[in-house]
Amino acid sequence: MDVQVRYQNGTLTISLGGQSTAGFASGGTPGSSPPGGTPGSSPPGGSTSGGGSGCCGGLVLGPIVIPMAGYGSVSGGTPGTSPPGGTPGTSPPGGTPGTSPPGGGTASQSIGCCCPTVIGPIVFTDCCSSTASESAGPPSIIDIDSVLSQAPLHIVPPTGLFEMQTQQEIEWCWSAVTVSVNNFLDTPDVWTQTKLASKVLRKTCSLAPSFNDPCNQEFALDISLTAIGNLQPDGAFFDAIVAFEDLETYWNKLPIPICARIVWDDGSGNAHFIALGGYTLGANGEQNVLVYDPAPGGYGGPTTWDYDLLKSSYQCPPDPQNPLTVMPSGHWNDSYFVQP
Amino acid sequence: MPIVRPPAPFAATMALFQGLPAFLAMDSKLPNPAVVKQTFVGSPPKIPTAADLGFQTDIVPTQMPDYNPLCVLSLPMASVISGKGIEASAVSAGWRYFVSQTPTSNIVALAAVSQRPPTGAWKMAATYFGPGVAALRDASNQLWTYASSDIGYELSYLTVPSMNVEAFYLKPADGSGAILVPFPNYNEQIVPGLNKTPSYTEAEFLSTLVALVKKAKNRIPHSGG
Repeated sequence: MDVQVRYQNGTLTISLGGQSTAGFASGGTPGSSPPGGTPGSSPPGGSTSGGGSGCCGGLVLGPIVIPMAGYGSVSGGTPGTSPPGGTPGTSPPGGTPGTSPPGGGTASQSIGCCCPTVIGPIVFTDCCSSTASESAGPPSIIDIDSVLSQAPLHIVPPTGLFEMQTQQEIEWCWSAVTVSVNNFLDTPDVWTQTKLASKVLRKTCSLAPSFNDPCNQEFALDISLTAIGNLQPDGAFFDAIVAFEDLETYWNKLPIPICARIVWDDGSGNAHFIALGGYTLGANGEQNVLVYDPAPGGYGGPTTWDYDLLKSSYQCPPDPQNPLTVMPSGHWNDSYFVQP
Repeated sequence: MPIVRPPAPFAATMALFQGLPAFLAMDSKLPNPAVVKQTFVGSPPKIPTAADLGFQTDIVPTQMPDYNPLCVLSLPMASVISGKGIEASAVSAGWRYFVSQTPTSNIVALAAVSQRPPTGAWKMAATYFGPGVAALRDASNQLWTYASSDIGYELSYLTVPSMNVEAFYLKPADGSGAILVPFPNYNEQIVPGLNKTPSYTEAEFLSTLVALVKKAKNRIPHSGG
């Protein structure tokens, strides 16, 4: 079962799809909730599609009580009786989030040491798989002025060298990018890829590349960045990218990396995280972006990429002789704005 | 028998010659007329200038240094699963050139050139600057240690982007089994199954990839690896 968890405007939306997920550890512990308490952010303004958008209606449940001592024991109330059909990711049908639960759901008792947090009602949608949340069309262009209006423009941008670590496990691009961003923006060397993986996966991780390593798994960058405080509020934009000219606008005001998610178009459903850290405008109109790729194929340093290829054909351009051939290339699909 | 590097198309080399300077750093001493504007986060990264690489744009293209071009092939995940083999499945992803002042210089850039639709014109795609570029070049010059001495091989560089896998692909002239030499080498390899020995048969290499494909994909939304 695929479970997506998103928190927006006081509503915790859990989407149940058709694929299994490691987002929840055994026993129903919400493993995809970041330590620190703030679940993955949603894009502001509704201009992008967060998890679960565009899906059919579902079931309303809640409110739920989360003991603040940990987020491990989320107890649901009695399922509500509101009819399905509400718009996922927005206000649940039948009530305003955080007010009376639809259907008269009953919250469970808190077992934490701190004041419990009541969240809900929860909207369950039932038709989204993890890949279904990718937009079918090309990603939209982010309104950079909107992003800048919420960005930490008051900070003194770091003046050190931004360096991308090579990912130490085959699935750890998210960890390498997060640690590299953190090293640049905050006190360096506080985090390692292993330490971060242990924190967000809540396992004892070590470097032992093998097929059976439980820590060697994909993860969401918005959650790992949030876990160590490096995601801007509402800084994750899904199915949305930055126009070349807006990169210039952004970096002129806030010269810190922007992270990106590349979705591979070879049918694998795999995706990969990178960071962007500069641009070059050529005399003949060439638009190039400085890419920091944690994969071994990034060769441990920056790469200047043609912006159009980064956007639509990362790593492998289309075949001009056979335009319908499925190419093992990727496209820039999601964007993440960071902060110290 | 030698390991043969197929020659790059002249049009691809021309694209390198014309396009590379716009992918390099501006030079505070010698202005780079190919670059109008350049901005980085933090301090300027270690990107060489054209002068650092000894790259000259005012020479006749036919007299350009060789720069050891590598033919790049890419393998879609679906092809890995299909079992058709590399030769039948891999697609052309262009050419890569090791650009440096001397063949052993540690200041080296890996310039990628590819064809673009709809015309098929060759253009610069990317330029890699990391320390791994020199290591890749040096590894490409040591491949004879993995090849049989009495068989000729054609060298390509195989990438499987969605799986973070890259390898030198040595295709024998006599039709016998191909040899795959993953990069980074097995001591630094993060792909389980490719960290055992320096080289693999095509069957061993593909079976490792298939095992990776079949590994349970427990994805949470918007994840990556």
